[in-house]
Parts: sequence; C-alpha cells; structure tokens
Amino acid sequence: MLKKNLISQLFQWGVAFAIAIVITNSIVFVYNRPSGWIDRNKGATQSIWDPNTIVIMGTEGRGVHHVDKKGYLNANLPLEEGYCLVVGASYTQGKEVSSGERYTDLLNAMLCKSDDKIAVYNVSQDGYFLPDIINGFYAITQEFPDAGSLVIETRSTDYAPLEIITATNQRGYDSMQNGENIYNLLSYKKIMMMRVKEFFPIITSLKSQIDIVRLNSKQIVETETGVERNLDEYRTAIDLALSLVRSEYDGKLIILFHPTLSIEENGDLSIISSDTDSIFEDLCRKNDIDFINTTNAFFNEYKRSYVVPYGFFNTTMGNGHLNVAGHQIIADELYKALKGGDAE
Amino acid sequence: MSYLSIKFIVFLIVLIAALKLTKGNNTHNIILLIASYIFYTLGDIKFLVLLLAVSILMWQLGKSIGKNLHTKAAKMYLTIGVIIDILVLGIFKYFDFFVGSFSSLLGMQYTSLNVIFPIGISFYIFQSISYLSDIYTEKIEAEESALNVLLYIGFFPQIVSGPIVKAHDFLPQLKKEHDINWDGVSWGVQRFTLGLFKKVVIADRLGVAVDAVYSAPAAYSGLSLFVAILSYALQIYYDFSGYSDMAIGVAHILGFDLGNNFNLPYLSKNPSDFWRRWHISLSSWFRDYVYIPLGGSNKGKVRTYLNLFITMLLSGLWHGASWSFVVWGFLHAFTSVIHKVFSDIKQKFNLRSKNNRITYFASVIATFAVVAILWIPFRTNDFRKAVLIIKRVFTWSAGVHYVYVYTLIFTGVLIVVEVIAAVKKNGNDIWQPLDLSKFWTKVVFCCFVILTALFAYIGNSAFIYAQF
Repeated sequence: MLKKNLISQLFQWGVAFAIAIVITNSIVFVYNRPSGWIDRNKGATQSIWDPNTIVIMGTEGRGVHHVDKKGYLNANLPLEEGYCLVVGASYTQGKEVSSGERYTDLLNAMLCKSDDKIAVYNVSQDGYFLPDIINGFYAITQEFPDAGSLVIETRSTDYAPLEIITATNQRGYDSMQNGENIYNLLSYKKIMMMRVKEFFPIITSLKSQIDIVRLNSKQIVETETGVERNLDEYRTAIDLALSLVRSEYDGKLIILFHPTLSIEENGDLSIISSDTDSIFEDLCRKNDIDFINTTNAFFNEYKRSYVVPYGFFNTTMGNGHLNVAGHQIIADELYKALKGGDAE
Repeated sequence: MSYLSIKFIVFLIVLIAALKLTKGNNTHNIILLIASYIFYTLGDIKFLVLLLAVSILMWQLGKSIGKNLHTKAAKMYLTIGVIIDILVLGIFKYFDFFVGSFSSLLGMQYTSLNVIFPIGISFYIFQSISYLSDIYTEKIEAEESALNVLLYIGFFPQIVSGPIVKAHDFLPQLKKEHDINWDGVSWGVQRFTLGLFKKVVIADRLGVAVDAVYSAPAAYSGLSLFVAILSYALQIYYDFSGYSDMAIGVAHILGFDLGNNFNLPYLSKNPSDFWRRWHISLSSWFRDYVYIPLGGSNKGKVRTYLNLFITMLLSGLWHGASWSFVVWGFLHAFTSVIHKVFSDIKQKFNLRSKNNRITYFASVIATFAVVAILWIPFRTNDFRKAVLIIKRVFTWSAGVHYVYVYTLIFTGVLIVVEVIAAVKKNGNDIWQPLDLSKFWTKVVFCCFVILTALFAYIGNSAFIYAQF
C-alpha cells in the first residue's frame, strides 16, 4: 500500500513537473526566444540564424525581429541597387531594440527610395568582432557582391597584432552555405535540434543560467589590462589588414567606431580610450577608408540631454548594448558620412 | 557556506539522512552541532575558535548564574558575561570605529588595524546575552550539559544572518524529539524556496540598479534617484527577509521553529509599527534585553522617551561600525520618539484620529516614505552622497533618465500583496504553505521553482545583513 502510494506520488510529481515546464516555457516564449543557429565556415559570417524565423529578446532591452531567408535580421525584401552593407557584432544586430529602431533600420529609412526594397542590409552575428570580419571579408564581398558601400562596425581598436595577422588569412566562400541553400547541408538531427530549441526556449534560458553559474564558480580572471602592446607591431598588423580589406572591395568603405563609455561618480561621461585609437584612425585614412568615431556625438548628446547610448531600463544605463538613442546617434552619423556631410 | 550553493543542498540532504538514520534526542543534537560547526567552518575556519570560546564561557557563566540565583553573585556573573560579550563584539566589530573616531576627535593619526570581522558575530553574541539574561530572569534553567548551549549559540540555519532566537524560545525545542516528517519538510522547502525567490529573483536583480545609481548619483535625474531609493528599500527588504525565510525553512525541515522575522514591514502605520514588523527578532531582543531592563515605560514619560531613544540608537549601531549607522539609528530613534510623544498627547487629550481606509493608507505611505529616505545614508555609508541624493530628488534635478523596470514590477507585486494582507489578513503576512499532496499545487510549486531558476539574477550571492 505504502509502495503504491509512493509510486503514485512520484508519478504525480513527474507529470506536474512536465506541465510546469510547458507553462513556464510559454512564458519564456514571449519573453526571450532565440532562434536556432546554423554554423558555417565559408560565408559572410561564421553562423546565421535559422532563416524565416522570429527572434525575441527580453533579457536586455526588448525586441522582436524577423530572420530573413539569408539568416540575418532584415525584412524579406529585395535589395536596392548600390545598397549599403553593414557588418558587425551584436551592436549592429540590435536585438535589444525593436525592429525599425536599429541604426541600420533608421539609416535604411533615410536612404531608401521605395518601401518595397532595402537600402541598408544588416549582416551581423553575436561576438563577430573586427578580427572575424577581416577574416571573413572575402566571403562578405562574395556573398554580397553588389553592395555600393560597406560599413564595418567596431567597438574597439585594441586588438592583438597576432590576432589581426592571423585574421588576414581569409576563409573561403561557398554559395551552398548561404541561408537559401544551407538546409541541403544540414542533417535531420541538426534540424530537429534547432526546432526543439526554437519551440522550447526554456532550454536555452536554463542552459544560459547554468553557464553563468559555472562561469562564476570558476571565477575566471582574464583581462588584458596592463599588457604592454607593441605599437609598431600593432601598426604593421592593422595596416596589413586594412590594405587587404581595401584591395578586396572597390566601393565606399567605412569603419564605424563607437567607443565604450563610463558614467563617472561626479556625473561626467568618460570614454574608455586606447592609445591604438589614433593609430587606427590614421591607418584608415592612409588606406582610403572612412573612419567614423562617434565619441563627440555621444558626448554632445550627453551634454545636451543626459542621453547615454548604451543601456536599458531593464539592465543598467551606460553599459551593455546600444539603446534606441545610441542607434539614432549612429544612424545620423552614418547618414552624414554616406551623404558626404561632416560627422560630429 | 552559503545557502545559495549546491554544496549546501548536499550538506542538508546528508544531514537529514543522518538524523533519519539515528534515534535519540541527544544523538540528534550532537549531529546538529557537528553539522553547525561544519557549516560555520566552511565559511571560515579561524572564527570557529572564537565561537567555541564564547559558547563555552557562556555555558559556564550560565551555570554560575543558575547556582547563585537571587544573590548578588548572579548579577555579577551576568554583568561579567554581558561585558565579555560586549567586549568581544567591540573588539571585532567596533574597535577601529571607536578608536579611529576618538583619534580624529583628538587630532591624532590612527592607522586602522583592519580587525577581521567574524561571520555572524553580531547574531551569536546577542544570543549569548539572551542565554545569560534568561537564566537570570528565570525564564529558563541553566544547562548542565554544554551541548545544548553550544548548539543554541551555533545553530547553523541562523548563525550567519539570524533570526536572533531567544534562549527561552529555542532551548526547550532542543529537549524535544526532532521529528523530520513530510509536513515539516513540505513547509520548510516551500518557505526556503520563497526566500530563494525573494533573494535571487527580486533582491539581486534590484541590486543591479541600486549599485549603478548609488555609485554615481550626480549623473542621474531626480526621478531616477527616486526610483533607486525605492529600489533599495525593496532590495534590502527582500534580501533580508529572503535570508530569514531560508533560515526559517531549513530550521523547520529539521523540526525547529525560529519564529517570524518580518511581517510586511512596509505596511506599517507608524515608526513603532515598523519596528514591530521589521527584523522582529532584533527589535524584540532590544525590547527584552535593553528597553525593559532600562525601565521600559514604567519610569515616567521622559524616561520612556529616553529609553526608547537609547534602544533605537543602539539598534542603529548594531548594524555597523560607522557614523552613518549611528545617524541612521539616531533618526529612527527620533521618529519613534516623536511618534510616541504624539501618541501620548492624543491619549491624554482623548483625541481620536479618523480610522478609515484613506487615513490608514496615508499613514502607511508616509511611514514608508520616512523609512525609505532613512535607508539612503544606510546604503551610501557616506553623508555627502546621501545629502546629494536627497537634494537631487527634491530639486528634481536633470540627469540620466533611468526608471528600472523591475523596480516597477516588484513594487506592483508588493502593493498587491499588501493590499490583500490589509483587506483580508488585518495587515499580516499572507503566506501560507501549499498542500503538496494535491496534484495542482504540485504544478504550482514546480512552476515557482522553475521560474526561480529562470529569472534568478546570478552573480551576487552575498546577503546584505551578513555584513552586520
């Protein structure tokens, strides 16, 4: 009798847990739902989202985005002739703000001649920083051969020379790895895993929590602070990379630099700068690459109305990803650069 | 060892198994004492010697008081015990503060000794005083065996951050059989989970905004600072009441009742009411062992106000060795005395305030506003910063606009809970354990556990009150 009761209770707990998972999953579904990733080694970026799906971000800012057929966060519309291609990391991806509020969307609205085409195309991936972009630059120009101008977004100019030199060893390009074709290369298992991930976002959320716990328990202290950078080696490496990039692309090439900020105790805004910033800017000029530095625009906006470009009401201000104001500032600066005006 | 670790879960399971597999009250108490010292040692082994020394000394002094009851010797032993306790607390917690303050007053230079602060010292020293006082006032008899005294002072669920359990409430429980049964486990696990939710989902998440704004108040707008003040009022409540819930839950699983430490303090109608609802174990400790021995309210009006003032001031100082805490205690003392004066005047002239819902909620909001403002120096530990924050709020200064979403959400939750409590429970806490024998309550509980895991803010496992 006791044994029967125990089995019945255990069964009830099992079923209750399963029902609870379904209920909480539906909450997570509307709160934070990443789409599936597809990794690749011969494309403009090293991975793309599962094409034609929805990405919902609620942990930092709030955004709902559509993944187009190529696997990037854009509307499924044809590209305008001579469109502007913007390549970058999560800042460019802009999942934290609504679709239409990202700097690429704002710029698109400023530049687009018709509603049924796209003038600015967003090619971005989380953690896709400058060395990755340099490494995949050939693939970018191959996957998007008709881009009239190309913007590379970076939040830092401070990279290890060796990392940059290694990145100049360009990866190849395979059109079969484009979003439209890549399903043919995927196994059923991979597709199934992606679907499970999409329909059960609770798995991703719980995994992410566990990863944070693990990271905290390891207490990894990995910082480059205090590392003496050999500026001559840095200059040589960046020059090599920028000249390579320039040689592979004929159109207008822009590097968009939006620096890290800090809100000081006395209320001032300070820029976390590096001695590599000016070297990087000089080398851009030398290689006929426009360098947009949003430092002054950020400062001016803060002086004018205490607006900071990073941070959200559900995280903190001054940290994290670009917020609506940050995207707007960058869009304005890029528009001026593309239209030949003076950036701030 | 922190409650917020896998290590603790394993520790608790092993302990429960050990208690289930053994029989006899004495054996259980030995196991609990060993477990308590392991728990304490895993925090920092070097403080165990002090804990042991204090506990054994109190046991001996308790016996001496017990043997000499109704004589001057009993009073002497009590005085010696209390002085030893205060000295221990003074050396480890207040030495740098007092000597540093006197040195600066005399214009002398003082290099801080940076005395290491033993975990839980403020809590177990107060329990030690409670033990001696309760013997002296004959609420309990002195323990012949050291075991029970050591376990009372070192009992692991509450040693780090309380609740401060009085000897006459706890020691009788050590003499009963500790029955670990399904009802107790169910109650305890639910209370622990509620505390965990309060800590990791609410308090730690609010702490993100509080830390950001309080680190640079000059940058933020008056509205943002207002929200940050609100955030901190909620953070400290959920952090500490969360810890208390966890401690109470763990103790309940083991068959002990530690009492309640919070009773919806932000539903208080006046400062006195607030201290009856906030950190109840500390307030009642000060009432029983400071306010009443000073004469309480039996020695005339002026003496009552003075006693109240002294009690509140000491309560402020208990929280930390800095002038900010002294001022915080002073301001709370001041508001409590003012309230007491007004209450006495009303009583004397038979003035009756209107007892309707509007005056009730107005007094709740006014009390909350005072308490929240007084939390500012408590949080900043810096007068200039505290003044700057208050000034910027009241002048509605321009600055970075930051209205933390979670502050609004958790304020909304608190308001709903408090309105229900006010309407249905006469202003008392509404928490009741679920009957987990039913299927749908199992589903609700599972949902709550999963949501806690999903929305936990991971990265801050320190409890605010553990530093006191």
